[in-house]
Amino acid sequence: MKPIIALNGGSALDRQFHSKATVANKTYSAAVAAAGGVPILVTDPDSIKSYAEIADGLILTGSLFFNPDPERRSEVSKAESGERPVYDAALLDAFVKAGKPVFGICLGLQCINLYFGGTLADGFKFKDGVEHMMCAHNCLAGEDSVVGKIFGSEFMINSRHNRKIDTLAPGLKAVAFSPDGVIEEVQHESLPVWAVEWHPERMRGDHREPPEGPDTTPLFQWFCGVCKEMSGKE
Amino acid sequence: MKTGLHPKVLIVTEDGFDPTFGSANLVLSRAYSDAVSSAGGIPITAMDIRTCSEYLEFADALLLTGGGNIHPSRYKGLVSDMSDLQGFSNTRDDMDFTLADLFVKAGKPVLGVGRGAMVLNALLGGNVNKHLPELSAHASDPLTGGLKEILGERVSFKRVYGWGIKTLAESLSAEAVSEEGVIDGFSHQTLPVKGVVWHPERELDGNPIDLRLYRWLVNSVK
Repeated sequence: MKPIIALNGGSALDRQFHSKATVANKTYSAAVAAAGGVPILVTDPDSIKSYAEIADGLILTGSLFFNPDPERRSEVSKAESGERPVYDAALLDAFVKAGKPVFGICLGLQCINLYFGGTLADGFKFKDGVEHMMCAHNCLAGEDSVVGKIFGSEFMINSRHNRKIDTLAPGLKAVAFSPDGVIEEVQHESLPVWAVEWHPERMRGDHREPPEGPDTTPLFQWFCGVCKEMSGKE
Repeated sequence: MKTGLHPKVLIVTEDGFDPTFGSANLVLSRAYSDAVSSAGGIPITAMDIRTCSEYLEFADALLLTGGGNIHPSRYKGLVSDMSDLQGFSNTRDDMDFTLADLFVKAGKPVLGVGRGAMVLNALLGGNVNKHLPELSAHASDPLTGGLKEILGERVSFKRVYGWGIKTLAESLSAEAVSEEGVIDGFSHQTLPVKGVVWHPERELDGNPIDLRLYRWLVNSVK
């Protein structure tokens, strides 16, 4: 049996009834399925403990809104800034307590840093004069970096965030950086928790953002492999 | 709070496109996962066509949700004008039909609501009426068979579709039929499979949320 990988989603309104919904980009699930995992979207606050029991690992995804009804924009952004952080933190807590592997992407990395006691810098670009939303730059990976072991010590990645890690949480190590000093990858010193600030799920096959970056499918194969190994599944 | 021992209900949901980041996406209306959860199931949502056989192995029951039109080829029809394809998604059809086929064949419980009922009927050989006669928006159907056992003598609902069931698949029994003669709900004759064109998980037009069909789905898990 392949490992079951739980994915969280963003706040949305659905297309048919324009009511409260959860949205996920298929880039995440496609990356998991291509790497030998079984992706499931998990949306129910009352089932969080069950999710940590039945799934073999968690990918904490980045932020994405979806809203077909512009008149109700504030409702979606309120859920994204209010309910979502609470749900994501509870999901992370359940998987950490179950000792199951977690991989955070972008907002997922930020959520992990906050959970373990770190802080974030909001709007850092205005202070530092650097743009990290919808652009690309090098990733400089240190010796312990998971992505460095797979893709080398220097390679191109995308950048799609307005916040960054300010104070790193106790127990987390920063193992890869942008040339202007943004923490691009962290890992926990003793728990099976890893995270990246960039979007590896958007760098696969023929659709790589940026095109000069590596195909990141092997990163998802690595994570699905860890989940499978720790699950003890044949 | 539930444990991992509760029945796992797989939900298939609408897909589409996210214009901001330029990617295909999935959108799950929370009314479905809330209804599954309140009925005692663990709601999980299917995300990728390549892992359907693993979803079958992993999940205990299937919920086929609402959405846009089904491609006419699924019920041996032809695209006569482009409005036939309103809200149509090839990838959604593929997911719905692949999973419905797997779960029905495995004898696992399946509930189809709205479009989901159309999917079940088309899968099993029935036909879709793309141009229903003028119908009252507020239906009140007498019930028979399995639907009557679950819901009582009659069901009231808001009709949200302009299309419906034309001919019912041979293996299904019509159990909710409108006064105009339109089939709005059915049960499979031998398998734990039911479909209704209405949305019991949603409060529409003063009809309150009714979890009884969702409880049937969860409780039918062996």
